[in-house]
Amino acid sequence: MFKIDKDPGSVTFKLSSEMSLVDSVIRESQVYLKHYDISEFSNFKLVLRELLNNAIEHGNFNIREKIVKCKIEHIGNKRFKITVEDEGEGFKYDNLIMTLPEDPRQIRNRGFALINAFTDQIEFNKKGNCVTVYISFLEETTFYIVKEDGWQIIQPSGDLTATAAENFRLHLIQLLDKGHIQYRFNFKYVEDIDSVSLSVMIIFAKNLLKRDSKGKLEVINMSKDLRNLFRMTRIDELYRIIK
Amino acid sequence: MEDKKHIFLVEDELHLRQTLILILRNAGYRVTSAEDGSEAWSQLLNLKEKSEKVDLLVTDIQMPGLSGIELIDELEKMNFTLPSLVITGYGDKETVIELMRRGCSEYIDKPFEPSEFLKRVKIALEKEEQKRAESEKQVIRAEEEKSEINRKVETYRQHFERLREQVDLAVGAYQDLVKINEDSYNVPVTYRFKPFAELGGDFVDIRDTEIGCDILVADVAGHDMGASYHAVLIKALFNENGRLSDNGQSFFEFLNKHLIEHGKHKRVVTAVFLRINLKKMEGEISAAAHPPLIWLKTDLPVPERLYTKGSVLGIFEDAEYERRIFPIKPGDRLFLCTDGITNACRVDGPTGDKIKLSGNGLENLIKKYHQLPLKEMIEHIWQDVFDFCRQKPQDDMLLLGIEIPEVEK
Repeated sequence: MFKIDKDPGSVTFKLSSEMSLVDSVIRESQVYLKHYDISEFSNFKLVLRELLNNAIEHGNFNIREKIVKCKIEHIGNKRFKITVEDEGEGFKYDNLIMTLPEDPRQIRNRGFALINAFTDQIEFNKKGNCVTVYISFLEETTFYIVKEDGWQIIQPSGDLTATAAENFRLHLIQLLDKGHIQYRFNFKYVEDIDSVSLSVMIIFAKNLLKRDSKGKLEVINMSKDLRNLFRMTRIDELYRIIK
Repeated sequence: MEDKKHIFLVEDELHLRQTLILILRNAGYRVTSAEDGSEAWSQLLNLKEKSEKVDLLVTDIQMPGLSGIELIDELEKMNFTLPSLVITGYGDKETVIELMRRGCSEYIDKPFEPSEFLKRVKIALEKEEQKRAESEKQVIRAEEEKSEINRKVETYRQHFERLREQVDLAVGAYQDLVKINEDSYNVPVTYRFKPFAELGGDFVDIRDTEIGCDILVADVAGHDMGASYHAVLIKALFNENGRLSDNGQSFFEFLNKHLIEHGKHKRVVTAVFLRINLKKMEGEISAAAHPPLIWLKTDLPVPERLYTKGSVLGIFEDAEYERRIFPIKPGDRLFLCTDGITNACRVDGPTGDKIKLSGNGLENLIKKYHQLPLKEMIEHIWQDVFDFCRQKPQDDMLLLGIEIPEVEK
């Protein structure tokens, strides 16, 4: 049995406990995600497959007649909620190990560790036969750079965390090599900066001033939290903060 | 001694055929002959099956049945390429040009002298020999290139393995760097540490002093070998400082200058230096843009943050570091961490909001577990921090707690 119900904003599957039907769910959900302009599907696929396999194998004990219900719902901003329910007696989820093993060959019993790695939150109902996960498709922070009145305007599209730091650093090095002296950073879309990105900014400032003492650095549209951070680390002595 | 070259002759005209066979045999060649194209065809296939080599095909063009051209074509279709010498007559010129286009070796025009014929045969055989030698050379060249590539690949592989060994050594050294023996110091210490990657920049070091101990918690930005190198450098300088007994303030001033002067690659370092003086029952703290010390007094289980002003290390030449002295009592607990703890964050599923643990969150955990013995307290806080970030840390994490002991008078 394989039924699909489409709603604006969600798609629900009802399937009998057959492993072969999991592929059909995956295929259909890929189509569903395309509506939201999502093409990088591998993490989502891994999570969905793991949830469905668990439901069929451990929830319904591979008994064909038992049903698995799966709902995929868009909850805004390329974030989704996946709910998978089986007809089993429930799963003892108290002692789940959520950390991935150090040795990649030990991956066998770490299904939930994998799911955890790729999702924002995992919830179980009380009985333990229904799992809900929240999963988001993060867009990499990109850098919009324009020239305006002799200033290089740099606007990151999102947070300056994790892997964004290296891109950030490379962009700044390129600009410095081209000989630009005046930089204005627009942090309209930046909510968070981690220590590596802060380092990048500090070191960039030092390098600019070493090259040309007339160098100018400004930051506009900073949130209160980030202004505090800049003050505590004295970065506000290197970058003029403009409200 | 060279083998006799084997020539296959196809000529329908009896007299000419017999003459040519005689000429060739006298010249030392081994000759097989056929009267027409079809006979030649089956005989050649037969020879091929028996793996008997034919060095040259000499064939007339104009023959009944299968003509010389057709014979050559048929052989080609079977992937049977034989060097050939074609005997042409009046009117065959276009055919000859066609043959030359196809790479047919040589031709000889009727009528011809026996010496001319033999010369052409010799030339055709030599050409073929040259071709064979050339293609053998190419095979050898290809083999040599392949060996060269294999050698290069092997060199890279060994190089990579050596690098891997070095990285493993560095990882081992770095991990040793961060290990401290909790129970061996003048003040009981409990700590937990988890680097984000194999190599990292967070570390803690403790030195016993005559009057108590000095504790340094430092955070070097980055998760690479360079960060570990910086960490090793700072640890060495801290050890040196222990000998000189400089306080935290002086140490940071010195360290800052040293990092600026000798840091080839600039790295941002934050740190906190805590000195415990059990004689005067005083604590002394200096910090370089680091999460503040949290003080849990024994008689008042409300954690208090002790801020001191100070810049990040290694960047500002005019950096200054504040020094703060505070009284301590036996049973007081002091907590230090790196910002991996205070920045531990989780994403709320339904809203997508990023929530940080923050200093407040850490203080709440300290409050929550303050009645437990220090070791258990740290263990519980550590587990809660990991639960908070859903087992997904984003940075090196270090948490340290000390408890002021009863001092024997």
